[in-house]
Amino acid sequence: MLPSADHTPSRREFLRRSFGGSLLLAAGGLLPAGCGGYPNREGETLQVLDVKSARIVDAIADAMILETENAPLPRPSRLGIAARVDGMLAGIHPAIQDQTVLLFRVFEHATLPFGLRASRFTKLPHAEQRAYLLGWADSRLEFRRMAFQALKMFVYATYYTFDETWAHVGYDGPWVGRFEIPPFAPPLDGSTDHER
Amino acid sequence: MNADSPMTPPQSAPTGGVIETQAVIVGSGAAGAVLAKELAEAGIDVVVLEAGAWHVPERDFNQREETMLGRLFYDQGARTTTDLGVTIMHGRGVGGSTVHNISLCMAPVAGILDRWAEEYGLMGMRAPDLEPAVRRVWDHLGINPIAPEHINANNRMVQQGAERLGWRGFIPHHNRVDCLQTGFCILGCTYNRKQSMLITYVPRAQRAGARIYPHARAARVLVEGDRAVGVEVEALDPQTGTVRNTFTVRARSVILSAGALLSPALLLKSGLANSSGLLGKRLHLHPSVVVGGIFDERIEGWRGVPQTYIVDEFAHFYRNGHDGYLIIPVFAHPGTAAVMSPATGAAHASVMARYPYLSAAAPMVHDETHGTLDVLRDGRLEVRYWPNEGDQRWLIDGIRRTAELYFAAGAREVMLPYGEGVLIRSPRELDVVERRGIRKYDVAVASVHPQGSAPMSADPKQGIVDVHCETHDVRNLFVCDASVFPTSLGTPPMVPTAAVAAHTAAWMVGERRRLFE
Repeated sequence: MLPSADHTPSRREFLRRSFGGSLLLAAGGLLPAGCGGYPNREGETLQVLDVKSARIVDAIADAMILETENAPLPRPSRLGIAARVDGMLAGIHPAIQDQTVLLFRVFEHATLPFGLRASRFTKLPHAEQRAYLLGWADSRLEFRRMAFQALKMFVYATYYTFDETWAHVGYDGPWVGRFEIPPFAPPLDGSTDHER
Repeated sequence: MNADSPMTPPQSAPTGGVIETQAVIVGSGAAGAVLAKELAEAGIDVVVLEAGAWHVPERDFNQREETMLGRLFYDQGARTTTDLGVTIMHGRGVGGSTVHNISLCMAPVAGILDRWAEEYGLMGMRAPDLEPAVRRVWDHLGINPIAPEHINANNRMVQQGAERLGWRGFIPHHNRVDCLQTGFCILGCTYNRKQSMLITYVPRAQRAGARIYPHARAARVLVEGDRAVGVEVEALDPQTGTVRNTFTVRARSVILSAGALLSPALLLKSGLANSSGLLGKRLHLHPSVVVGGIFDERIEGWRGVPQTYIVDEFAHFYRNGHDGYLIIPVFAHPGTAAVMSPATGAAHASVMARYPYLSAAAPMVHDETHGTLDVLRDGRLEVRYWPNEGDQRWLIDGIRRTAELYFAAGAREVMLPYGEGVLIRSPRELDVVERRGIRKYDVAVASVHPQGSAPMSADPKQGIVDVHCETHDVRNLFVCDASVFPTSLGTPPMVPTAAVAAHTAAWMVGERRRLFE
């Protein structure tokens, strides 16, 4: 049966459903994993994310983009994807910023209830990280599929903006900086622009 | 004010107090800029409030997604419906969506306007009524036919497929002049070839005396008795977007031209103009889904003029205002393309590796779905929309037809828009489209044309504004932008929106004593 708009959870419902149940689960995930072990990255300037969230983003991006540890693509965490996601978040409503950071944390600590794994996400081996991540994409629970869409959007919208990824997709990048082209200065003498 | 340069540096918003004017216009896009120019040139004192920035293209448009999506779009180009089911590209800044759009110029469709007359009593909005305004907009935006030699490889594949199938299509008009074919239109034209409102109507409005304030967000419409008298405004810090101070604009008339999401939101926040209960209840989005054809030859769809051939074989709404869709070539730079591409990991990387060989097009549905719009207590928009069963049928049909088109054009494989990625090698495999249907989070649905959220109707019970865009409930309060379309257009909305604004402005000038004095 096709979904109807009437049964769509609002973002608030999503948070209630995910965090009402998941906060307990996330707390459970915290116990065995602890909360330390999120290293600072030298020279990284963050506006919205804290260091912990930034490292979670790094791990999500690595797991989402790289099929295996040795996949022949630039490693997102090494490119500095967390800072670019942070820059994207900086232009979004503060309430959504808060919810997104919360989502990253729930994702990190919900490995036990949603993945039957005792370690938090960032401590899992790569293959298990991918399996856990894809479990969200295929979940029967709509809020997990919705969360996966959000994670995918943040990761892919930023990853392929790094120049280092363009060789892989055959993209040659902006003209600005490569070619000197003087812009038009449209006239204000009342003539229409196409009369020039 | 320097009226000699079209790129006069932005005027900063006042630090407080009250500005007096005859007309205050909220928004500077396809409608707001037209109204500002036409009213100012008629000698009416105009103030324009724009929440976004005032960009100087050659300085600010660097053709990089990570920069430009944030500069030209709300939520960094990642605005969505509340449930994340539909992506809505929603422009901001002086010039509005005309700065980032793909310059497709189509006059309003007569069949649609006839439907408006029949169903909503809008006798003054038929094609002959709007024609002078369309001509005026056509002229001021420098609209001209796209040269056939400017059809890029992405569009050529669509044209080739349509012609082999005997489907109707056409090379549209655009508002580019001496186009360099760099292909960065959606990130703003660095070279001022795109004749957006930013470089056409806005400087003309400014030269005629309009005061235009960027970083000035309308917070509430002020009403005294049964009449609008002004707007409370938040001046935003250009760097952080936080509220720096507030000020008030008092005006004889208030015109909301902030687009189909923000104009109704402002009315909802102000508690105005909703005796019909329809405010924000009839949102249309022109939902579309992207289908890709993978070819043996290099397409490099990011190069050249992005949209130069449109298939209108299935645009049934041309005739009677109902049903169907256009097939429009689409292409995105790598970041956006990656978001729209299916799957993750190696499968996603494999799709992206074929990016230079990919042609992409989308059926864009003339939708009958009524989405809703509300404002949360913290000021955020709550947009709910998922295509109804009828529109899902059209999307399914559109996916099938677009896939057939690509096979006819010689595609080796066709990529269907489902979550994990589905590649098919023959039209015989298209049954999968019926089986998958249009399920949320399985199909990536996108919109660039919100409209219809404050509909126009002669009957106050059936709409928010009358045929002159004045609200039924509050005198001297207007909504004039894509919000007022009582049905979805089915076609790109820039010219119809600007034409309705020009038509309304001409009427307003005739009513200047009541409206502005």
